[in-house]
Amino acid sequence: MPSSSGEAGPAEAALSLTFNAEDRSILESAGRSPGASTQAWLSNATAHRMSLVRGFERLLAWPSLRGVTRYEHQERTALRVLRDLRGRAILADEVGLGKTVEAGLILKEYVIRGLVRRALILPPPGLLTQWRDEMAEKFRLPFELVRSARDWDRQPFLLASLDTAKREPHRTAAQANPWDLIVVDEAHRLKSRTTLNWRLVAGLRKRYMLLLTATPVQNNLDELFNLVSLLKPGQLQTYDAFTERYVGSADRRIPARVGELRGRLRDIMVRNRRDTALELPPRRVHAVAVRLSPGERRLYDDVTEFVRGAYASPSGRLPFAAKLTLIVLQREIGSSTFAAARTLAKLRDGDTFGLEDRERLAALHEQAIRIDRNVKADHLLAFLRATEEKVLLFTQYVRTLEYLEQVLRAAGISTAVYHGGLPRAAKDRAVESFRDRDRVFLSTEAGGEGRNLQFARTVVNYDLPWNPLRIEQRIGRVHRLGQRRDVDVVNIWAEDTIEAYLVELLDRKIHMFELVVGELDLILGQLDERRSFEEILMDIWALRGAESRREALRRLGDALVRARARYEDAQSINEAVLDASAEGAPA
Amino acid sequence: MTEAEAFRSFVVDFLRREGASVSEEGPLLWIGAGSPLAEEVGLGARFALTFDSDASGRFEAEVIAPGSYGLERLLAAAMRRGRTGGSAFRVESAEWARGTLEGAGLLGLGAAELGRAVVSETTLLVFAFRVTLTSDEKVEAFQLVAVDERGEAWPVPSDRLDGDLVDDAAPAWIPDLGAGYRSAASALEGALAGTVETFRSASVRMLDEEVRRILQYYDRTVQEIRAANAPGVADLVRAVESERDRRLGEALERFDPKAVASLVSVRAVRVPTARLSLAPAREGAASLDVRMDAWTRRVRGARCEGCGDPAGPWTWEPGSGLRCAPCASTSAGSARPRGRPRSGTLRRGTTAGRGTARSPRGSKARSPAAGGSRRSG
Repeated sequence: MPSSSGEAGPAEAALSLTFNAEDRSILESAGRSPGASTQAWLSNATAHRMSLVRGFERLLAWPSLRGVTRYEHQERTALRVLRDLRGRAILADEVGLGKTVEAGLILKEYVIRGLVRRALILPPPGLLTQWRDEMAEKFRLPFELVRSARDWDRQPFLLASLDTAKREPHRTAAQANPWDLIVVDEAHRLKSRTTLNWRLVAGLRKRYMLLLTATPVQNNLDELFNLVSLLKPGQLQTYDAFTERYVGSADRRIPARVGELRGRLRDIMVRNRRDTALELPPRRVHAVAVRLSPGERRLYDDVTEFVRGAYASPSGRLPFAAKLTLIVLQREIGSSTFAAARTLAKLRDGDTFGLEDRERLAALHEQAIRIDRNVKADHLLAFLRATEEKVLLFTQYVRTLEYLEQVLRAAGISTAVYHGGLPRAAKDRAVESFRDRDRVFLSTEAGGEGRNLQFARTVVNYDLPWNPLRIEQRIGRVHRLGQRRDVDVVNIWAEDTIEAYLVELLDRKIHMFELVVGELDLILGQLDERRSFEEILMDIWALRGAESRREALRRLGDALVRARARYEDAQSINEAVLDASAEGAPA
Repeated sequence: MTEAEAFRSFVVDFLRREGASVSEEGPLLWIGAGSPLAEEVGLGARFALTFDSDASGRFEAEVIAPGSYGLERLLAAAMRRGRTGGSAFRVESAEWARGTLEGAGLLGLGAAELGRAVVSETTLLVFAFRVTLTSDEKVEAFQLVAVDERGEAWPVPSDRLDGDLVDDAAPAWIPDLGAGYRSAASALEGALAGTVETFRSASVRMLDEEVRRILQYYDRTVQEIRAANAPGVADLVRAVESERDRRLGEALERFDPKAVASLVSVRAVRVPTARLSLAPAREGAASLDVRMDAWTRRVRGARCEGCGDPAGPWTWEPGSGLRCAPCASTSAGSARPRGRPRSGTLRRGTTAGRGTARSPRGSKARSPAAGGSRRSG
């Protein structure tokens, strides 16, 4: 243990230069062979000099990143964390400023310097694959998802949800070996020190740790204390001393001595605000409500009737996988008749359903393939003819994508096609072709994740994923840092469908399309719900009576409004505590 | 030259020298490599490289940038080569001797003697080390150390590698390479003593701060728990103390400083060397026999009469003899300047191999060539 008194003389604790035992092999080989050329020797020296690590005077990672635009606030943040905060920090940027990129950048810098060889990222379950893809695509860091307790020792770069990691046998495995770096995304989940989440992270042995959250304070200042104590115990003094000094009143949300508190937080937290880092241009939302053709209407209603009947049947009759297939079918019919036709054929030919149901499915399939054009496509063409902008056109399904590709080509609209099944080189060509020539970038959900598409500013949702975060990701392809023009979001949806519910909830209730990318997740996180948003929606849609559906929809709408209010409340507290420029912040 | 240009130049030169075909096509370099090289680099027999990350999607090109797989493989391949061998330093003009004396501040003493200098070829052993200092950060350096036939060792600036070095068909190896290595290691320790100490003390300062904060926090937390006298106090205190111990262990692991030197190559370099006697114009003063070589341009045999500095440059003061710049700046050089090491220490160089050299205070460096024995302290 080093002396804290400063009494120990340097000689006692002198650091020795240790010589590598491997040196002997070079000395031995020198006498055995004629040796290498002078050029090879000079090249050896150049290779060593090129690979030297010289501290953190600058960031080395930029040239090796892919599809990451360089922003000053992110560079500044990474350097501050590396140099001044020595790898232990709360990254508390406001939503939309790229905390993930900042964390990736810091991680990559450590990896390049050989300081991080083992890293663990703990995001919410819904963001696991997004983190994995982003780390691989942008930062070339091969993270693997933890699927079993054995995985903890197998890979150096791991991703696990907090929910998984905190449970045995994962918890013991995760805490068994030291980590060089831990990243916790949405770290406000560590707000209470009595939770398994907090105890898990506190018990992990780590050298560096990054906690990512736009809202370190959600309900009261204790949460801030707990978060900071996880990184740097004592930075905010002890709990009693913190309460006495920095909690202003019985209302534990009101801070006292705010200037002093912020001073202490500066040693551990970096927070960039949109108004000082980068303001995003506004979004405009355009709703295109479509009345289906009689044939499409009949098919939609018949498919819905079939799905409701099967979905709401006594539990146990349908296996879970079949239930999922029904949800997919309902989503597909909301996208296009072409997308639904394939699943109808598959169900007709499979053995999930009895004979009577299969006959019904066969009839539905016949109905579907008789429809050779969809009204939504006409509206799409009308929109495209009315604008000269480049357009990102999203659909969830490859069958719908193939149909739209035909429609657009027939209409003479140049189109770049992009989907998850393409090899990487073909994806690159599609992005390049869209940037240089094509009007439309027709894409499935894989649409250009991590690629710079900000040269376009119009997003058309030909169908609406039931998971609002997927919608947000689509919009985020153009409404992100680097976008300088107003962004237009066009939602095409059919009246009297489940997608109409979705628009009612997301657009009219919480104005989702005006939120900054990232905020929606924080709002949905305020819902006291274990079910996913898609499951909630399907459960409502599957209700038999129209009145029951309306009532359930109203209740969900109210819950969303309350969630948004709670989120906004948390925002104001964070501004008051963390942001020096916040108006009316208590002194 | 930008970093990307430097990488490009290195990669092209290295691959061509290894017999690979290299052709440029826009942002891509197309490489055709023979099988041993292809296997070693692990990128296939024909592959594309790019220095622009966003162009890497084309033909699955490997990015060459800090930390990239492609660069790491190529650097590692280069590092496996050129570890031993011989070179010679060619020099056309004889002006180097005058320039070297002038650079050392000794031209006034030696100009007249230059014509009588004995010039011959000698062999230096040049040891290249990679030095890594690690705690919760990492700092590295590349350091060359030359050792002459008498065992005297001194650091050589890396830019000397840019000089006119050619292959030497018959390197005159000094039989006792181990002794040369020990001299080089000792000189390296001396040269880096200040840097290592600065690094150590910074790490210890941070560890001290961390430990003090952790102890204060947990000790006061325990006091607060006891004062509250809630049920289960003993269990709570045990939990807090166990967390404190874990944190202390974490802090120790994090800020533990390490300094490691790794030999990366050793080479015999034949160099023109001049010997001459300098005649100080002071009554009773003996002449000063010095040696200097055309490549490293180091004058050996002279040292500051105030502090013992063997590296120079010096000035000649009739009253007090040869003085390095800091000693010369003190009044008449009568007192050892504050903060300067005593004569004989290795702070700015070494005379290792003469039996008078000492490792820096507290050094416990180990040299494998020395049979693993602990170096003198």
